[in-house]
Amino acid sequence: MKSSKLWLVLVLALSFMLVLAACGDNNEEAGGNNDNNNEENNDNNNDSDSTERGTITAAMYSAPGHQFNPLFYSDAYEANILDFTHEALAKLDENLDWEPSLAESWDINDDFTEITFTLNEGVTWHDGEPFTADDVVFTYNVLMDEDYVAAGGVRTNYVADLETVEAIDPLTVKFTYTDTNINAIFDAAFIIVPEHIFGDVPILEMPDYSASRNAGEVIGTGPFQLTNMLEGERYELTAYDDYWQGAPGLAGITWRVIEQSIMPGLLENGEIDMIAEPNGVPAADFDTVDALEHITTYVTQDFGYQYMGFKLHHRTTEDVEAGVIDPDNWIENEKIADVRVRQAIVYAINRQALVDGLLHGMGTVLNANFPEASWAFDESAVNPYDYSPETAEELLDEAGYVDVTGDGFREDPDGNEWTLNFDYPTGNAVRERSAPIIVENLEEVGIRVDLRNPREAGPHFDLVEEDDHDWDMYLAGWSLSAADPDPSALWLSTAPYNYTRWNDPVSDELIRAGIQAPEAFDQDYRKQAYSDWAAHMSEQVPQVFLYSSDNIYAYNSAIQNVKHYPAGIYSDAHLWTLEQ
Amino acid sequence: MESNAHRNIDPNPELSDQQPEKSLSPFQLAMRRFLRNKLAIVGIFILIFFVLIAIFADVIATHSPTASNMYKVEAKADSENWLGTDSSGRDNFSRLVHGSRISLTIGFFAMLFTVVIGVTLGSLAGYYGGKVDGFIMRITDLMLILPFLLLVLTIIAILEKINITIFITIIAFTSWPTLTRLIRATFLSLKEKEYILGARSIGASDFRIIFKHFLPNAVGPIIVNATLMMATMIIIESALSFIGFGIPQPTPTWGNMITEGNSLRMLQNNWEAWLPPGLAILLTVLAINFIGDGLRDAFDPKSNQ
Repeated sequence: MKSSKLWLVLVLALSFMLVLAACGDNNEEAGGNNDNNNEENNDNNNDSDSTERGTITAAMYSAPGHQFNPLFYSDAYEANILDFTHEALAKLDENLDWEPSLAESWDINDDFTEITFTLNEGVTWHDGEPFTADDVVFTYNVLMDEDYVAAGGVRTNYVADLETVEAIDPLTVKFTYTDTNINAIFDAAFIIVPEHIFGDVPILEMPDYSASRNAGEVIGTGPFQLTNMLEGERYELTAYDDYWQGAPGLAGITWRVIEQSIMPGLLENGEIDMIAEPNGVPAADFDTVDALEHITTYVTQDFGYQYMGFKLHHRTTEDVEAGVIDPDNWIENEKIADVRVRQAIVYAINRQALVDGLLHGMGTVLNANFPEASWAFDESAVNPYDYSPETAEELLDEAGYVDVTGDGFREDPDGNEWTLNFDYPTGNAVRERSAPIIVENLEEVGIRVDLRNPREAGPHFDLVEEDDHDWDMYLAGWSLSAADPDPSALWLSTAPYNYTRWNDPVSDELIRAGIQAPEAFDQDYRKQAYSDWAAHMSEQVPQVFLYSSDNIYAYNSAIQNVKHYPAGIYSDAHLWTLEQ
Repeated sequence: MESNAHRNIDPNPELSDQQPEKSLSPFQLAMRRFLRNKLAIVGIFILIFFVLIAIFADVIATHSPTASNMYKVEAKADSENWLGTDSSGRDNFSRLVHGSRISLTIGFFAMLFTVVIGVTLGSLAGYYGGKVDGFIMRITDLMLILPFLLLVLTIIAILEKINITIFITIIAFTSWPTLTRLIRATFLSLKEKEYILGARSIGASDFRIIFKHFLPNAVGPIIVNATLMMATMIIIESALSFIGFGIPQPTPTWGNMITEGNSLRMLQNNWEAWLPPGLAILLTVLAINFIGDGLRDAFDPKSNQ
């Protein structure tokens, strides 16, 4: 049995938990295609210069989902690779403003309908081909193609208002929008993929194409190349010496997939050099890690958050199969249709206790889609829903959910048994622990909950997307973009990411008001619009906001030039060097 | 089958019921030998101790084993939480006490189910031989070539919903082959004995021969293996719970209590969280093994103690 490599891989893959969302923008957690298990050889082919430049080892707690095409990747673990291998036209700086990346500069016209980028000269892909405006046009044309969603793509929000993208000359590219676009740079800052690799591949086959999946064939413009991987265990990034901003200071970065709880120990004895996305060091271990002399820590608030979603509506089976999001066909979930029930559930959950107990205080209770670090955050707009089992019981009584059989659990207004099904994923240890505690809280106010066995994150989020019909409540989290608070991609009723299937015209209207030109050029106007929306959401409770945890990054102090940006520490990785 | 068997037995009640009774004296001899084995007696006392804890868990536990206190997480031992609290703020002592219930229940019933399957199939294969034997033994071989843990993990992953009953069934379903082969081998060796031939020649039914002549003579190996198997079952439960495939939280089992110790911080600072369940598993399994060894010696006819 010991010889069974497969067994080991399986145990690792299954027991190591998954989760937390990807970066980029509003990404779902995990997911991705795990069906293709072609193992890569893991011969170490480090160049001879690796003795001069150092190699560092970084750790993440779940394996990437094996999709290294930026157009289709879905989890935060794949992002850990892509952040080093690929680039976009612009990126966020330390003030969360846009700074040039692949583009040297840009120019927006007066009515904000056109943005023209001038690209950097001398940028080459990992295979030596030059990077041109055609690659940008190709990338955005794929996003706009009607086959893109059918192929599994979810990043359509980047092209929602896009009319055309055209290459004026090899180094100039112009985006034209149908309407005034207040987020033009954000929308144009999607990761660029090479046309000469994917140009002839039908979009439906792109996710399974070898250049989307295999180490050595993944081509980007970034400072590192994915050269080797042992599926589910280690992913080796090697420096791309012809990188346009100069050869990277490190010979390579090796990602290892390691159980979260043992990371701090490995960091201490030097087996790993960096713990970063997602979530970083477990909050419980922060004091231990922070006390280590050779380790630098950096704490920043996560822009994402964890939540308990209500499945307010379910899509029909036909719609799920056809990949259609049409609110008109949705079936309402009667069990949680009463808004008082949902409000009662928020009151019943002691969220501050979750933060204090499970996160050791390193996080905040959240009541809106905007974290404290965002300018759209407005504490006064929302109901704080402070823990109050008494209020919860009053609301439930008022809604007619009372215990008529005397078994300690409430029945629905018709006197029928009322059980809420509750699903949660493995992976994120804190989230896993929170599930039984939430159930305990809910049972205290007489709500019968069927806590079902946890699933791996991949299958869990597949079922969330597919609107499994007996789901009522589920745990999940979002990683949100630090760039702009616009919630359209998550909360418009027609958005694929609207997992709760919340169908509320008022909400849709308020979300659209937030990006309504020309008023939306005024940040105060937008802030007010988002406060109104947050207030409406707070009253309707389509989901229970749980907490936003602090991101605790930790790395070996021998790594020099790491930038501490609010959006993370991966910026300008080509400048990183290892002090010998 | 049942009624048929009864009709065959009924005509001579005195003969059929009395004779095996008298031939049980070797069993009494074995018991006498067993009681002289000091380690086995110690094992019995330890096992009784844990069984009593399991029975009176509700009285002994100071807290509810599933209640979380978020304001007291990973606490050290004090007068309120005798063994501190775990990472979800649950009382370790109460979980340890209630965990004995789950671990022993799973150990015992998984063993019982396995014995039932193993004895049934083993008897059929050993007694009838030929095609029946060939068929059962091929299934046994098939089960044996599959790595046990891989098989269990796959079944658990497919079923998704795991509770104690399902868990016991899965373990029993995957661990019967060894016992089946053992029973079959015992039957094959007994098959040529004169008293079997005698029983057959006076026209006894298959059912009667199996139950009255084979099984009483095979009871030694069955009991010994069943006992040892119970220890294995407890280990399997702990192992599966440890890697997250056992009984899910918040149900307390010794295995998922030990999971707390997989972070270096807990391992170094909070020994209260993982050491006691570890010791409990060690003691129980050791005790059962002592009993099993004692039984083996006792049933060994060549033993001269």
